[in-house]
Amino acid sequence: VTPFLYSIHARAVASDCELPFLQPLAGATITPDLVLRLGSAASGETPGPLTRWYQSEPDEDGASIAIDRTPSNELVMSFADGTTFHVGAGVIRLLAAPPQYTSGDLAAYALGPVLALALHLAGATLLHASAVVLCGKAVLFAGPSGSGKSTMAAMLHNSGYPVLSDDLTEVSGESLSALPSLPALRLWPEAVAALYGAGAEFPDRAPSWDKKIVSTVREGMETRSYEIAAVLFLQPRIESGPRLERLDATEAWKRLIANSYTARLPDRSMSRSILDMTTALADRVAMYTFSAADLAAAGDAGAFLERSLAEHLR
Amino acid sequence: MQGSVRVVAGEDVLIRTVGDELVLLDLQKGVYYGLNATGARIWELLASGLSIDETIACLESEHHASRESLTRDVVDLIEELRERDLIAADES
Repeated sequence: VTPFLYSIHARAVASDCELPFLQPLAGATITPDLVLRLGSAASGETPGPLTRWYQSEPDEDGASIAIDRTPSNELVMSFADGTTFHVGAGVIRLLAAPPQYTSGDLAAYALGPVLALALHLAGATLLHASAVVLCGKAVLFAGPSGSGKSTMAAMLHNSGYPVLSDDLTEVSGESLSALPSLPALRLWPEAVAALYGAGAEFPDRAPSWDKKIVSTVREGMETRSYEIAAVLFLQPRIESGPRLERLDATEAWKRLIANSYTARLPDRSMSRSILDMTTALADRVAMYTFSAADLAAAGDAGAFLERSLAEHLR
Repeated sequence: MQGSVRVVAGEDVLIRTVGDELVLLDLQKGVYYGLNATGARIWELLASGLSIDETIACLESEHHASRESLTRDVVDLIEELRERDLIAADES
């Protein structure tokens, strides 16, 4: 039974447990595009013998993510702490997790890297980027973890700009539009303190994770996609910022590939989709490196970007 | 490689034009290689089905460079791509 229905990444997602930081769709009777089964870890059976399909490079703590294939060509994604999900056609199912994990912890996994894999399986092309609406068009902020994608989106949200996505942005292949993801930003505590004051209280992203959740819903959630006007690759903040520098198409493409989700997964059709999306973006969309100002002087970032990117925002 | 040989891209190689470069992406190794305008033109001719000799002749008609230097450009590029398993001789 999956009684909770949500709009996530422009899809109807049904879940068997309430997702802690999202508003369910009230009274909706839509057939879901994706079903989340997070509430039955104990009964999760591994779907047959597995063969290793992909193993990520170890992170700074030596932890890596493994993805295995099942006999029916579905995937099993395993994290270093033992949390394991089965990603099948239209369904994400929890197989195992440490006993102390709450539904919030599991949702943080399921709606992050696991959902990214499920969306890829469904043919979506994703960038490691947040997206904000400026003058009716999407501006993407791309970069590796810790580069400030969510913080940049939160700064602009504070100035009244709608946020489309956080960390993971789906790009619609044909029109090069950015789709909405989740109505929330996940921020490190330092960013929350700098942007909202040291005493600001926000719910944890998940009890076992450090990031805080900031809702980005003002007057209803963003449900439509927006044409991408520019992609900005985040550089370290500088006191003399903000500063934008235009990239040529080839350099921009290399950075896009580096920031595309699962670009290294050994799946030819996925790789072809990502290659097509990134080459189209590099050819048709303006790309820059962007060094934001110090957080304390960040208030006018939106005005600076509107002014600097005016030719692309028309 | 003989001058009459035709070459094809490796099975795990995807090729796209990005800006002024031709990019060859090796899916197995997760590595890409960029060709400049000259390299891209050579690849374009080879990929259209011309043999190595036909490619050199075609370049000769397009450029003022000597046949010797054009031959060296083509052979060097083919050797480099072959060493990286990006191309193979067309067995068909």
